[in-house]
Amino acid sequence: MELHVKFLVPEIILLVAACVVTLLGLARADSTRKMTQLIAALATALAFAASLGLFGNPIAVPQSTHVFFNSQYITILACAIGFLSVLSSWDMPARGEPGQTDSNYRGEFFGMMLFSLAGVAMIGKVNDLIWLFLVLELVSIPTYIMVATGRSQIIAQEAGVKYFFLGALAAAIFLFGFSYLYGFAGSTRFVDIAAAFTAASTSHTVPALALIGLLMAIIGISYKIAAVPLHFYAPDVYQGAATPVTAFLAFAPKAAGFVAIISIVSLTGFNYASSTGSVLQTLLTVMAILTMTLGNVLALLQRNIKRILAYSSIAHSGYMLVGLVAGKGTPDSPMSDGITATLFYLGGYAVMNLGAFAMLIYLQGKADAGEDLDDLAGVSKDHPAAALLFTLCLFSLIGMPATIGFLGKLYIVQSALASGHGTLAVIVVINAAIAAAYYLKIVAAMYLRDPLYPFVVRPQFPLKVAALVCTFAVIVLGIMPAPLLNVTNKAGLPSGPPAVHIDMPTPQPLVLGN
Amino acid sequence: MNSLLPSLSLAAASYNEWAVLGLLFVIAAGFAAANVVLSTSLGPKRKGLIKDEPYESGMNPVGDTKQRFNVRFYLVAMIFLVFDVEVLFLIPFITIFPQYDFLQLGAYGIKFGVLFAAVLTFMAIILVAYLYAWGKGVLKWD
Repeated sequence: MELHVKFLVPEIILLVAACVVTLLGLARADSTRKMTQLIAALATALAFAASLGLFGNPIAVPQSTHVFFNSQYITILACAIGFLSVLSSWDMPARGEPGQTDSNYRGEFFGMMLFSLAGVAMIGKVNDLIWLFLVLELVSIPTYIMVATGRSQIIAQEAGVKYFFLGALAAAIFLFGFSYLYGFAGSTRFVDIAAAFTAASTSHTVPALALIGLLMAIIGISYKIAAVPLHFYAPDVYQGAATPVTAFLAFAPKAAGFVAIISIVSLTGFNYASSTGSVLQTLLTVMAILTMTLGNVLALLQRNIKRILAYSSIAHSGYMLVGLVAGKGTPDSPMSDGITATLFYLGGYAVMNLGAFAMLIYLQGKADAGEDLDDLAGVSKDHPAAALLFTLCLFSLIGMPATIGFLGKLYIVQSALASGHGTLAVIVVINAAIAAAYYLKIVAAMYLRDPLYPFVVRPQFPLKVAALVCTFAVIVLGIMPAPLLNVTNKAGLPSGPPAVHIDMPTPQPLVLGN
Repeated sequence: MNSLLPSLSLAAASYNEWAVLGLLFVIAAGFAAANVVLSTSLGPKRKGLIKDEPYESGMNPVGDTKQRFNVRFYLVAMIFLVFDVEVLFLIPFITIFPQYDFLQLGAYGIKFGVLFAAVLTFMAIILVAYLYAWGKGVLKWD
């Protein structure tokens, strides 16, 4: 057991860097404080190398410990997207006009970002309900602070407070569910809970309270992925937060939440044929349909670009839930594997969404600019390259062929069809068509209209790098998805409880005196 | 009374497995309602000038309680939390503290030396939080 620390090298790098950055932010000299984002970028790059095992550290966590089946993928994704997120928030936290940085809070901002990333990197390596809760909060609590301190406007404070209180409510809901799961299995460890579910479902005696526990856990965690029923905070929070923070919010809690939900569903062994499984599948189906339809339809009504992207983020959660409904599929047809499709979509969404947000940050050269559709009118005249990159990322979000968004939707729809959810597949395709309307509205504003006023952009070089890398990845992985597919497919899926059971020795009682 | 609740829930479960959940809600709502009703109906009501004064640890009250407190009080309360959490984790650690040997196996089959290093790491992280608060000037009262 003690050897398991060796699987946490990327997380340890991120946590140490987070501590260093937080303390460095207190330095008296402004030049020292300005080093914080350099250190953050370096740490995420190092952690990325470590997550690939470049330092000779072991990366594949053994299945016997009953962790998430593909923890390595999540760690790589967290470090890679984390690096690009640091680049795209180079002049954060903003004060007044963009470019003016409130360097007093720089240490906190990047420290919190690194803490949250460490949580995302760790979420796949969790094998206990307590750990799951702690890591989910490690992801979330720093993001509450980032929302509130990322921007000096009062709207950011409001968003931060709203996000915090609703997040606490959601945490209460899924903790309550966890307590029922503990009451059912008598243990907080995944291996024991999975064994209890296997035993109970073979004898058809799964108690109602265990079912309630599963449902509440999934519904509570749906806050993290911004899915119905706990999606309502997303537009206000995404709009209120500074744009780089919004980009981060669309990735970190969502990735962690999806891995958490997959872990929870995997406690029942993805056995949707059982009575417990069929209830779970119904819940996930209803959540998926409502989430994507509601997100897309409400996005049509928006004029604020960050609100559009917030509703689009809700809709994309709906698509990913479809993969969960499809389940792990059958071994003989790899295309029916909805979980891998969801993980692929998660990676693709992270890249294309960050690309779109990076371009939005780039185009927000003035405070409060680039918020409304009118602010982007005629961008293509002065900044053709920026408009092109933005358009490519938006095309990927629509799901145009030759982009990663297309392949993501393709795998999701395939898994739904292969597992016999034809209606769900049709709903996904209809929703993808609805979504095209509001994404194309942004493209139309950039290309077909005349500028209303001269445009100012943010000139930061790292921001341009982040946008370029994301767009490049969107196109290249859209044509050659093999690298990403290989990582998402690695290690196969868990089938029930693992073979090896690690016994915990009884702690020795404390003996006082003699 | 000790055996009442389990036997009630057993009886409910034999009737319908969802009845346990209903029973839980009835107990929760009943407990809340009973506390309010019983304390208002049974409690003695003695009103008076002295009784209605805010309690200030036996001192003569100097003013209203509805006033603004310096935000520093809350910051100090939050640093207290840092140490509170530290103690919360150190006490369980002490209970599995082996008597003699750093190579002895402790909880989870981890050698005690490793366990000790883990706790030192934990304390170092807590120290970072404390240094941060110090650097932010939370401890400076003026």
